[in-house]
Amino acid sequence: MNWEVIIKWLPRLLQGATLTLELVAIAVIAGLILAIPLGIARSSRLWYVRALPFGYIFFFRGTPLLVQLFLVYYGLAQFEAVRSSAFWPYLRDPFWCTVFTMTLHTAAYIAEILRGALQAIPRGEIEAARALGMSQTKALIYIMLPRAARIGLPAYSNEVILMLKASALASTVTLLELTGMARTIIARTYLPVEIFFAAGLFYLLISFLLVQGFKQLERWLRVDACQGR
Amino acid sequence: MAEATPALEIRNLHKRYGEQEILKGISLTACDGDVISILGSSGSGKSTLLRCINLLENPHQGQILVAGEELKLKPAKNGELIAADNKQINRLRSEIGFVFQNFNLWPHMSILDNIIEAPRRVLGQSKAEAIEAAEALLDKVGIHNKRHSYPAELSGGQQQRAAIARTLAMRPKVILFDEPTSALDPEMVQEVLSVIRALADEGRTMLLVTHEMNFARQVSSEVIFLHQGLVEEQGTPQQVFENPNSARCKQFMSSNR
Repeated sequence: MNWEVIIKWLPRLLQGATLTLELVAIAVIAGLILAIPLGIARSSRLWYVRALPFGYIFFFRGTPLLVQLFLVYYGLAQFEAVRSSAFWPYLRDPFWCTVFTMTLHTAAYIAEILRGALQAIPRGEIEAARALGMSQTKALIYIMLPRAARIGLPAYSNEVILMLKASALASTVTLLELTGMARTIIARTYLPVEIFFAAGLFYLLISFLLVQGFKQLERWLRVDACQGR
Repeated sequence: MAEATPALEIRNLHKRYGEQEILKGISLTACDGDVISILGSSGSGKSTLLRCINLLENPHQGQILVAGEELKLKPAKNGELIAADNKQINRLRSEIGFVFQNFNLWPHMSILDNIIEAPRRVLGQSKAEAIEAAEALLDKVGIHNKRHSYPAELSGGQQQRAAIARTLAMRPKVILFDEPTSALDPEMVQEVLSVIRALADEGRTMLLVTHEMNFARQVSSEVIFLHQGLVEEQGTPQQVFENPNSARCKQFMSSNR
């Protein structure tokens, strides 16, 4: 193992890792925001409210992220309407294409997590809210969403880590995030073992920090205390 | 009629689950200060009756009046009656307290937060105002020292007392108790019953579904015995417990002595 090479290229890998973190952070936060209305609509009793999020989730869960990324990055530019639209400065940029695709992709999964969490709330707790005179909306905002957040948090943290690793696909559309950067360095040094090893360590470190962060969040939100019922 | 408007009136309430008719036309009237105990064996429709009053279950027929105001109902596709006016049902629910068998406290909130949530969100009280009222109620039910604890850290009896405080915080006109001690260890039953007794002594209007026969006998102004979805026996505790007319009621009372 050539440690000197690893140390030499560490700053560049760190640069890549920063881009990876940016991609993942924007995607999982924007995805969460997008997933809240989707997940609520998905758990509706009315079929016509459920239908749209169902179709959305069906598409984004049912096709590979890589295909979605290619469709956005290579596909959208085919349309004159897209090229002449106000979004073109963003949609021609691989960074925003990746962020856009990852967000839509992860939102589908998070919406499913939220739906499951909403449906897992013990019925009696919702009845208690309604019996105290809360409207459906108030019960949803003040009782059900905070409760569902705790039920769904472990699954959400899992999704964040999956997205961290899925972000490696961004290297296929020219982005120099951690994997893209590693491949570029390898093209120069011809030392795939060392560089991929170092990149792997970065991924491990990031997931370790994420796991620790979510652990703290779970403790702060008292997730454990809420489960045993 | 010279009589005052009853706090709660139920007229001819029917409820079915599929083909099975659980309530076959129940009527009852609770005047201010009445404590009405509803007794009966399992499956006689006691809890269903209570849950129909604030539409946690939807009846198929009947009228519900709270302080003279009739709850507006409309038929749904499946034949049940549902609330016709969402604002009205939410307001009436806030005036009818409901205490559950399983407490149904929200486990992610502290006891104090459990109690102040509905007064703030439904009655629009300020946080300070709601906390002040909640502290007084926690004092009253004897768990003031637990106000920053979470439901899972409390015993069943304490949780039920917190749930009663949560209900009282809405200043309900009528309180419905759905087997409030049935999920408790025997030694915790008394602490909850003494809270309910104190409420009865205050002159609150209450409907109480219970299996605590002695307690029902002591606190009630009226006892109703349900059997197969009908009121089988109705009267003062003395009358129903000691001198019931119906054979079924007699049998029930003697087996529960």
